[in-house]
Amino acid sequence: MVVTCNDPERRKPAKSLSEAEKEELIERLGGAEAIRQSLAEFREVNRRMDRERTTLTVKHPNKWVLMGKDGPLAFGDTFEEVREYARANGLGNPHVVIEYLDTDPPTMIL
Amino acid sequence: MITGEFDAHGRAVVYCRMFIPRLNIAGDVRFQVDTGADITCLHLAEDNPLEIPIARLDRGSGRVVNGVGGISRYFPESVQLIFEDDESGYVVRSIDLWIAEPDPRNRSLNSLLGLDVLNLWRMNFDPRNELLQFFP
Repeated sequence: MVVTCNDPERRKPAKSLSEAEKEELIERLGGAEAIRQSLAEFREVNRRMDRERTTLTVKHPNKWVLMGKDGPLAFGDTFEEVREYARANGLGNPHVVIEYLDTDPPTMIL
Repeated sequence: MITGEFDAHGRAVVYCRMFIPRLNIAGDVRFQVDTGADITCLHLAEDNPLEIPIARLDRGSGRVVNGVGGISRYFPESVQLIFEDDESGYVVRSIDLWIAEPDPRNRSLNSLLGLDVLNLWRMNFDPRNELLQFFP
C-alpha cells in the first residue's frame, strides 16, 4: 500500500535506544521472557486466524469473529458486540484478535 | 536478525511489542511490511483489543494521509517498538506511530511498517523459501 505523508517534520526516521534505556523498557514491560511468551501467543492467534479465515467466512459470512489460539471464541454482527464479549470475559491483546469475515475483501495494491 | 513471516495471503508480516509511554499502553502488534509507506501506521479496528482510547490521541496534530484506499485521518503518537532479535535479544526502535481514526473504510487494513523503520535495516525477502529476515 502506498501511504504518503507530505509533512517532513513527521517523516522522522526511527531512533535507537541506548542499552540502558532498552533494558529499562523491557523490565518495565515485564521482562524479556514475558515479552517473548506474549509475542509467541499473539503470533499463534494470528496464524490460527490465517488458517481458518476461509472456512469461517463461508460459515459466518460478514460477521465479526473473536479468535483465540485454540479457535474462534465468539461471533457477532458488529465489532462492538464482539469486543464487549471479549471485555466481559477478560480477553484482550495478545490473547485474541477481532476480525471481520469479509466475503468481498479488498485487494491491496502494493 | 529479526524474523518475519508470510501470512495466508502471502503478505510479509512481522510481530513486535508496542509501548505508548504517554498513555501507558503496551500490546502486541502485527505489521505488514510495506516499502511503499513513508510512515508506520496502526489501523485499529482489528487490533482494538489494545484498547487505545481514540479520544486521548493528539487530535491537534492529526494529519490527513493519502493512501491507495483513500484519504484517512491519522494521529501521531511517540511509541517504542520492540522486536525479537536472535542476536541481541531485542531491537527497540522509537518512532512516531500514526494511528488511524477508526473508520469502516480502514477496518480491513493491516497496520503497516513503513520506511521510517525499514530504511534502517537490510531485508532478506525470499517468499519462495518462506524467508523474511531483517538485519538491523
